[in-house]
Amino acid sequence: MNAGWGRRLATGANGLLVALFGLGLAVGTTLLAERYRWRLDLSEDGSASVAPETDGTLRRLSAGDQRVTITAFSAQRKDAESFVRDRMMRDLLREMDLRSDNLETRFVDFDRDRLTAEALGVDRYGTVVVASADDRVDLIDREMFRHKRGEGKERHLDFVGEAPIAAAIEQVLAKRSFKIYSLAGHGEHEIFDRGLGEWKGLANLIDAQGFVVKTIDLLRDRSESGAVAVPDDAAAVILLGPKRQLGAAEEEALRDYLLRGGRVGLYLDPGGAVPRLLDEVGVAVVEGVVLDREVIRPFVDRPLLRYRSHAITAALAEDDAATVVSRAAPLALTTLEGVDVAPLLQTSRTGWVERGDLRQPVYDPGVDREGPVDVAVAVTVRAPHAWARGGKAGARVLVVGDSDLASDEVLGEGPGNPTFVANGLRWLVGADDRMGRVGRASPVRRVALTEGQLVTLRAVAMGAVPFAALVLGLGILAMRRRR
Amino acid sequence: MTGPSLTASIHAVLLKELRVLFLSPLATVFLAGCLMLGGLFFTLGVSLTGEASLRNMMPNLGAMLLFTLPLLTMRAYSEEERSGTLELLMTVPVGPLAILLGKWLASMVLCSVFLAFATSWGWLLAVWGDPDLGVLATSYLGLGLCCGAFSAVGLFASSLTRDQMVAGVLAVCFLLPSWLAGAARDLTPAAWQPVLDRLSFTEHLRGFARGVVDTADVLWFVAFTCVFLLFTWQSVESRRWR
Repeated sequence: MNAGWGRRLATGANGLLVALFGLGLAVGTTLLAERYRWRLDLSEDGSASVAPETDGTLRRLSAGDQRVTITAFSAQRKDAESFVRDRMMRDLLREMDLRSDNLETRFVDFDRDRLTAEALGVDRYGTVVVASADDRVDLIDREMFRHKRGEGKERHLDFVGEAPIAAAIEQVLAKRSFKIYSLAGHGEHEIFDRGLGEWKGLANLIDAQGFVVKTIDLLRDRSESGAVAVPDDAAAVILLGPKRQLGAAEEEALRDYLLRGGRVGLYLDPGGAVPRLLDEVGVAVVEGVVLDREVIRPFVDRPLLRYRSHAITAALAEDDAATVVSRAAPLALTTLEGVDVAPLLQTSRTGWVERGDLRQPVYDPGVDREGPVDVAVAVTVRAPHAWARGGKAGARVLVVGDSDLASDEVLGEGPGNPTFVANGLRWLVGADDRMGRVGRASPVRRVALTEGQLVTLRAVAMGAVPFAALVLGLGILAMRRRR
Repeated sequence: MTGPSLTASIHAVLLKELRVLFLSPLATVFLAGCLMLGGLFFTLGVSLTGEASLRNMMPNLGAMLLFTLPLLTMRAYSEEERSGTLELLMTVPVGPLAILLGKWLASMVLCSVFLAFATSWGWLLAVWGDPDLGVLATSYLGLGLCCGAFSAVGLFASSLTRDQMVAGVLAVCFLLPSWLAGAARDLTPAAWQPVLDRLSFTEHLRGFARGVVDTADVLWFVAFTCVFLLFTWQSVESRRWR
């Protein structure tokens, strides 16, 4: 080998090494940057990042050893909206994916990849399956997107899927230690109809908290000894709109349960049954329906409510997310020793209790009661109250003058309803540290064009702008050549 | 005797390259063609989805730049070599690095002109809609980074051959896997997806299109650009001893 070749070889090898070193450095840097990434969300409403609550959920997921898989199926291809839906879902999945190593996300084209759909037993477009080990939550398209009315016939699409997906992750991660009994036998609402029932939303909401709900008829489902009693494993008992009075034995069973530090949630309605044990904590459901002078037809029975300071309502007040009730029963409070009654939802002074004809609601000072009117209260019992005498302090009672606020019809109407209901249940079972916030909506920013505007847009974007560039380029060319 | 500083050398090469670009119809054709194609994607995106953003057109714009930027850069070294001016350039005291950076900056200047014209899309959205200005800004930033990376690849391809057409085709071939990786993402097993995500420029544009500036995405484009500029430098340097 002559000296020339030797020099070429050495220089060539040197160049190759430099190139390889540079490549290695670049790959290493990008891999490190992926691991220690810093993200700056410059969108005006911060919607390009996940909400702090979702981030918290994903951190908890990362901290554990449980893996969660999210499989999202594409929307039905019927219009341009399906494209937007798919893209927003992909964006969220990617954003979540980046934040936890224990999360695996997959977006599946429902039309193309039927095998995956069949394997997961999914038969609807837009379904999201959140799964971990042997647990799984299915979310439907309706829970992911919401249409909002704009001006005239305009409809805006909001993506609201982040909170339900985060809640589903929490659900599959949660150890289902809280058992809630839903009392039956008095015309209460049945929340387990998972078809097109009125209470599917509540059932999903309870599921998403990781609570196990069982229906119980105290008279029929007696204990092993034959006694009418609330089971020992009950984290809470709820009554959802009872229409008939509870029997004496049932009242006694609930009282006995409260004496053991039990938790009871009462969602009552005007004209419905009211358990007598409420008298013992100074809460009464008075006759009439709560209305508001500020509210006009056709929603006259939906008073404007404000939040009072409490763990259940703190985040809701902060987020300014209204809770909507429909035909609510007014509550009257009496101060008793050993009972802390905290109002949760209350009307302003413009609210009143209508005792006359609801078809012609007019505030009559002689008959009706002036606001503010309490619609929901949280009661905590301590010594020296009779219920705390057994040494088991901490009995809690949640009283809401409306059960419909948790129905499918109203649950989706008030931005604060799902959180209010969920926080109420969390407070009942003592999970005060898990109070949730309102799931935020990410609006799709629209540009609504008329036919004429679309023509102008085309003319400017495809004609005027390229033409301007052409004129500029040719102008420069001509100028330079003239020189 | 000392030669001019690196900055001065880069400046001189940049001016010379810009002069060459604008003295030929190439720059004008590139600008007008890209703006027309981009305008088509823009109007399609807006009329089909009604969204006041560039999100829908970002992958298409990236693909358009993938095919058009090599046309702009393919002549950078090939033409110099074919006409014999490269050897002359290598003998002047500016150095191959200054030549390289000058050429790359010249194509970036042209890309900036393209992006400046392209801001008219954002302006149109603002006239009739309510676009998120932060999202628009990051979208343009992403496109700018994309231009830088693709120009670097174009220069590298141009440094490999004296035939402009071959250089153009080579550049597209170098960039194609990065484009196809994004398209193949949903068709491959889940285990492959992280690898494809890392390769795909469309995946790295996704954050910018949403209004997020992610250091990982920025560094990906910067590293991509630097690697191909380094390759080009080494390729040009190799002419000294070949």
